[in-house]
Amino acid sequence: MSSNEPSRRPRRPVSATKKGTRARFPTRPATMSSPSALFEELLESSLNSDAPPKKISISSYKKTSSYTTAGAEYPFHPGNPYVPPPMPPQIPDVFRSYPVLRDTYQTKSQKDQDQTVSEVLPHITKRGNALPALKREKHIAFLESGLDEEQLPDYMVSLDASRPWIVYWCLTGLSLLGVDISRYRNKVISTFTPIQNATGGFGGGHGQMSHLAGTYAAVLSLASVGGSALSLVNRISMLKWLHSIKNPNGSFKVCIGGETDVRGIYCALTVISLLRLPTDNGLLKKTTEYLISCQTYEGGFAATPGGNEAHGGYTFCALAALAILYPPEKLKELIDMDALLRWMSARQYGPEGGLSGRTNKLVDGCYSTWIGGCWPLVEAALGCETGSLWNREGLVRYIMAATQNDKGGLRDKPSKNSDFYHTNYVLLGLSGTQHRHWYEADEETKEWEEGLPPMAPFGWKVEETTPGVTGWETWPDSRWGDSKTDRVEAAHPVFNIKHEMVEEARNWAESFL
Amino acid sequence: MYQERPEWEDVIPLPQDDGALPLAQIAYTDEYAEAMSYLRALMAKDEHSERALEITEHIIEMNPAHYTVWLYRANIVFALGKDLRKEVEWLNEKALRHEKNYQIWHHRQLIIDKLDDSTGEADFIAKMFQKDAKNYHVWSYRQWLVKRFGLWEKGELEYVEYLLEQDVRNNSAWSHRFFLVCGNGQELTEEIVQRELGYVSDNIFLAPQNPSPWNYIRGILQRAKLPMSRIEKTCTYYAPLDNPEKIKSSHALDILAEIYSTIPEQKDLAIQSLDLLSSTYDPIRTNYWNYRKTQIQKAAA
Ligand SMILES: [Zn+2]
Repeated sequence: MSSNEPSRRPRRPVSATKKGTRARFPTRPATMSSPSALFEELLESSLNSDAPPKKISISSYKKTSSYTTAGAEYPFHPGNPYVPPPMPPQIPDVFRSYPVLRDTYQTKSQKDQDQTVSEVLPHITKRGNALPALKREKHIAFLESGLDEEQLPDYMVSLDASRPWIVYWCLTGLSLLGVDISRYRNKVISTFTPIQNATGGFGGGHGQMSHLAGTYAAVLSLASVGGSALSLVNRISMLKWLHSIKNPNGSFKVCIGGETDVRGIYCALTVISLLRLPTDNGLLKKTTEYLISCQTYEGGFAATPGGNEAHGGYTFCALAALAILYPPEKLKELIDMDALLRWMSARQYGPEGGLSGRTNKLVDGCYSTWIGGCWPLVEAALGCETGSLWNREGLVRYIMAATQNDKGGLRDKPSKNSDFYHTNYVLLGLSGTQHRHWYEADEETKEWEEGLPPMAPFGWKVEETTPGVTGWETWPDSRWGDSKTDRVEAAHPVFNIKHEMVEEARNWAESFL
Repeated sequence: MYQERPEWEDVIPLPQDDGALPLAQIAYTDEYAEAMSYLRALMAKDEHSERALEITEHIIEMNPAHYTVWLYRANIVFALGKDLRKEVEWLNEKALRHEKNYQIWHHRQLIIDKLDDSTGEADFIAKMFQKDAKNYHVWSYRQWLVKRFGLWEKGELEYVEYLLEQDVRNNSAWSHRFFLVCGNGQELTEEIVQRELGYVSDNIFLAPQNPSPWNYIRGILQRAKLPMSRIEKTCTYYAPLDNPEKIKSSHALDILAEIYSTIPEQKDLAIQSLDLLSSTYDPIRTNYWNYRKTQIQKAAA
């Protein structure tokens, strides 16, 4: 685990999908490659005897006025290939030492917290100042095992009612890593065919009752593989079923006879808006009120309005649900934004850099999505000109150093094993650190109106955070000229699948207008 | 095996259809696959019987996250008029073994609601809290109990205080206290506010850097529509701006910044508090503290 880390050198993404798929979104200069990356490429090819040395001329490194890297000034010439590699920047103190204020009074929570810091700190500092690279190939292999293995081992029977989730987690994680997942289209359609119930919705497996979680994961998986796979869904029975689990107070039961919480609302709204279902006959009556009433005195949102504690998972569900109904700037009017901001900001701890789900609980990789994923919504609600409101560098350090399993997959924290759930939600969180989202309304993407399908979530735009271009926090690019290999694809801030697939689903649904 | 037992002879098992090209298929044990096939057959007939009850127990033992089986079981238990106390006892053992499970607690809620009696529930919850005093499902269930059986004044506050004596950083317990004090539409009288201020300051004294009581009192003041300046003295005690080396709590600084930001003449103190937070006392949140500074400057302009 400690000594045989691969040396830090840029690796080529396994599948280069960046080209062509990004046309709709502003991108940074395509030809950019840093001098040290070029150097390593040259070195690699000269060491590799069966490949002829690659000719790299000085002109292949195009310095653009909007983008400079620390290494750009090195005297570089093909005849003199030695370029001293740039030294990694020092890890800031906030990520290498305990907080200044620590109470001496010990309780279980404090001991757990101290234990976590002592577990995480060595991972953050063990390579000196160098940030570990993304173990892309290993994570791809790990996620592919969830889909391509003949069968998953029998101990995974505990996920027998969550098979749509496994498919969604693995597909989404792979797509963020640049893998073309459209090759799974037929398998995805085949897998979800027996899981869809004639009475509407999808269960956790064949013969299981329809459940909002399974339905959410099924719809997102079908949308992700594209090619009108969504047409598998019976929209008419789906709508009937949604009406049957709608509560008069605005919320949804997760299944007939099941429990109620904001998870259910977020899953239902995702399905309603992606499938472009009509919302007449009170389908979303009082839903806004219910969501708003889940905000607690701490500022975060709880599972229900019934006195629970503010929690990262439910906060994402509540905010994303509101962002399906309304453009982000409207959020300010609906909820106590100052309180939410304070609570969200307090979820990030030093020195770990990771995010926690509740007050006085520990950091955990999956909150990179549940809390990290709230940030683009909130930043867009407040107007982006203020810059990033949280510490992206901290989360990148936590993800890269503490959540990567050497054997593949990502995890909660170093003492935990990697699993499909954490792998997907850590990667989504990493994607969040590398992109900036903003909202641009068009003709259709306005606030939800009674009776119509919600269209607000289709107004999101994204760009890679690019130094010198947007003035945004640009970790890790500004520190590492050659960190392109750590790049993952952008995910839609509400639906947590790739933007392109949300656009495709939007086009697919045009015929239902 | 069910297929060898005479009482199952009349049932034709329904095998699972995973489609031609299944993703994420699980290699079931023969035992699980067979039991599920018989369960699907019974569910197709919506059979409510002793043998149906037995098979739900068998499957839940192998996979307690199987929500369909749980809901089917609840229907059978009610249809057969089973002894609900026995059901609760059976559930106890399941809950202690599977702490992070939605279904067990939803089932318990259905049973106790029908039973119309919460006797013994507090004792069992105490056992759960010995394992994890922040278990979200258990706390949600406890809040449901309080509402369903009107337990607002039945020792709940004392129990919260007991838990906070064990761990003053248990934010779930603080959250429950807020629910008890405000969650029933109660008016926050000056007497109650005084009591809460006293309780909070005792606990802040133990660990001034513990965010829970600070969040709590902020919430109480906001709910009572009282200004944050009610706790200015407490804040300056733990965060003396004239003697920054003596600062003991970043949360006190945060609230001071909020108090001073509303008073034009004290704007500089607000900025000073935020600067101390971002430079020294809570530097990972620098971007947020800077945002607060720009808000103050905007308001002044
Ligand atoms: Zn987690």
